[in-house]
Amino acid sequence: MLLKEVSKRTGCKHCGEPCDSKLSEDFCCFGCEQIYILLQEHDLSQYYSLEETPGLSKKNNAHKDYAYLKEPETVEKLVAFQDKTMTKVSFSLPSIHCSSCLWLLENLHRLHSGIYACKVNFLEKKAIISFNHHSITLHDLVVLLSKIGYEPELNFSLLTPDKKDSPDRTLLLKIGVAGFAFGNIMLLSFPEYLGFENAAKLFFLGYLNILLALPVLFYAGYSYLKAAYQDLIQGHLGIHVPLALGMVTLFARSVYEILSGTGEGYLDSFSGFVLFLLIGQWFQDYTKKSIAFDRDYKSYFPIAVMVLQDRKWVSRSIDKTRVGDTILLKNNEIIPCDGQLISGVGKIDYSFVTGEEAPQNIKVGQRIYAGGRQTGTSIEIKVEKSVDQGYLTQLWQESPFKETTSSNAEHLLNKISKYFTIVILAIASITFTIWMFIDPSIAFPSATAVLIVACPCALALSIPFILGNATRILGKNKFYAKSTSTLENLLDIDTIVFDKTGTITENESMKAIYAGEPLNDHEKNMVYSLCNQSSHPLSVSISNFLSGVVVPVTEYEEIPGKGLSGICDNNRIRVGSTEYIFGSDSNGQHNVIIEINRKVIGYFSFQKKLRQNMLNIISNLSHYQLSLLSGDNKNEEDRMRQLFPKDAQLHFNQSPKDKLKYIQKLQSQGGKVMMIGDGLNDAGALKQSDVGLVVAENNNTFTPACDAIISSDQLPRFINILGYIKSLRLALYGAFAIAFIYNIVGLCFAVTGNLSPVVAAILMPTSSITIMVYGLLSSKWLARKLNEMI
Amino acid sequence: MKIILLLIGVSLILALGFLAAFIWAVKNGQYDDDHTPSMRILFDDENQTNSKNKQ
Repeated sequence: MLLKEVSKRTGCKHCGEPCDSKLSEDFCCFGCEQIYILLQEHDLSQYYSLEETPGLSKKNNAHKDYAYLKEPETVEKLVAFQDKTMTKVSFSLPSIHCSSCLWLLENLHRLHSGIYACKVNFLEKKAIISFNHHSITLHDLVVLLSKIGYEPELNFSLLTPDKKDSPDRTLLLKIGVAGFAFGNIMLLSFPEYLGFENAAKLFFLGYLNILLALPVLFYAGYSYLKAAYQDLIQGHLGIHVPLALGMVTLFARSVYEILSGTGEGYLDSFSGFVLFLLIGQWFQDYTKKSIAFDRDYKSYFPIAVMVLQDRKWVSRSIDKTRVGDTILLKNNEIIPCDGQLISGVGKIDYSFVTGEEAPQNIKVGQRIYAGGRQTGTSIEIKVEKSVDQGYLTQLWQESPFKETTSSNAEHLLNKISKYFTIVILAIASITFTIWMFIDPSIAFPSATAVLIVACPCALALSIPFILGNATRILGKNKFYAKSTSTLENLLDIDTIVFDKTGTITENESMKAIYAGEPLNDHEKNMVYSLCNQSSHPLSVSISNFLSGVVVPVTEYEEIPGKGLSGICDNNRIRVGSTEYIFGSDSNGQHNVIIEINRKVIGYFSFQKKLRQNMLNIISNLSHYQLSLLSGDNKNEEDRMRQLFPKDAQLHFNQSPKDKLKYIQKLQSQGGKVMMIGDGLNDAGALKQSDVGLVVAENNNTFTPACDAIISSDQLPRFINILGYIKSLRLALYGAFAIAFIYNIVGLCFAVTGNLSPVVAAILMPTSSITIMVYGLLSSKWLARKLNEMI
Repeated sequence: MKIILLLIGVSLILALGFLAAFIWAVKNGQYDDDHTPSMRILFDDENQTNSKNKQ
């Protein structure tokens, strides 16, 4: 046993969060304590020794209802495989984040005897669990996972599966074949390196080399040939053209030389060339793997809903709801489709759709739109549009989403490769012509040597190794870019548009501001005690603001979403909305009024807290053209004005469509726009912008159609991130410079007719490896900028 | 010196054998997840042998 220093543990044993000593010294909440005890009972305490406080806090976990998992139909849809006794299911477990998680999950069978095995894929945060369905049901399994803190993410997209096959397998196979060929051809080429040309002919080594090189050209390198062909048809000289040209020339000339006995060919350089290209491609895919990105709007919706059938409530999967069905939605549930409220009191939070922060009151008979969230008591809705046609999905089907983004990928590369091809062809023809006059026998060899040695592979490798590695490093710093082209686009932007809700303001904590007659201590305590009884976010906000002493409250009554009332010390206290206190409509004001003994004393209004350092962040960005778009009304205008520079444009009352149109307007004026938002309500704008950046509070937030995600706690470092990306551009130029030098050296050999296979075999792999190493080292070294303080 | 032909032949066949094994392993899905096994390998076997003994 290693001796560990006894560290002063100042937080929860399970999750490390600070402990409220009133409850327990060792745990921050009951949930964490429960998990700890459960694991101890099953002899699984090693969970805690692998990583420090490996758990995630259970404090804020809303209790989820998994009742719909008891329905056989739903179960069937989620299950991957099933036979008489065993069921295999694949879950996405977004809470997986460390080796303790991996350990615990793979030891799941020790928590319940009905579970056979669990295999985790760490990068994808998925687990495949096989269990005996007679011994434990799917429902119970999900409850168990939820209990230990690894709640599976069950979402709508699982019901309409589009199977993604493993495309990397072909890449691996190609690398295997190319590597095999490269190694063996080099081995067989040894005699000629050492000067024994005759040996090669004697033992038919040349023919063997051709045999080995055939699969490299037609299998491993095939995709480059195909891409180049397509490029040429479209009349576009992309990077694939010089690559394919080099490949074909190498192969053709080598085969000619071998078959005609005039030389040994360059098949070793050829197979090495293909091999390094494929490795570059593999590395690029590798950097993308750790960033799970492709979720669309469907993953946001719940998977099942209660439908009224023959006078009974039945849990049915969402895609089965039809127009005319009556569905039941409870507090905090998301409305899956447009409909009409037929029973209950609707208090719908549309913050995801319109950005409006405060819930809207909907009366029976009024319309309710998909994407809202019910806050308050249960409501019944009559479905008017089935899920596919809801308002929200219409927004998604706006043009930006339909067009698959033509990859801006490598647009810098394509620019260079265009000139590259032309220049090389020019040099080759000039070489050919000049030699024709001096010594015709060297003309053809040197022209083809030019085509062979001019290695654009250095260009092709610089993007994956510099930008790809940078994407990975940024990912470790909680900035997830969708692809390397995102980084390239970031370099070009000149305009930044901010969303207000959730981006500039925090999503959660609200600041209460009091207006009215000052409360004396006694009144303060009474209001505090009353509000303490309620868990409504506004009440919590008020109690945090007042922080008084608890006084006993009698006759406590809470009308969800409306107000509270109670008696403290013989005073009747009422706290609530305008509608609750006065019975009249609130005209859009969302204040909470304090009434003591039928006399209105004052009211609280609420301000969402600004994110930390927002002023600093915005002032650092002042050299960009800045704008603010908010779905809220103008009551925050003054506060926002203070944050932004004078020439910034602030717009309020923006609907998602307005935001989208604004971005389009800026772009038509020639601007390169980056939109910073928080996800769903500015989704159209995010997709339309050149770079859509989402600020995420937790890494489990889905983010459809954006180009990058930044974790909210990293937002202050955004300026460092931009600085890093800019420095990458210099690194790229450095790579091009190295490639240039190699090419010049190689061309010197080629043009003078001195490009022997040995020289080629040395030059080409060396140049590729140099670029790769340089790319990795430079992107790593420049990353130290990320930690600098501005 | 003709022995070299035999040597070359045998070494190529051996290399082909390894290539075939690699292709089989890829198709069998062994390379689908190359990150998790690197974490798995660091776990202690202690507890597992203990529980095996208990059974």
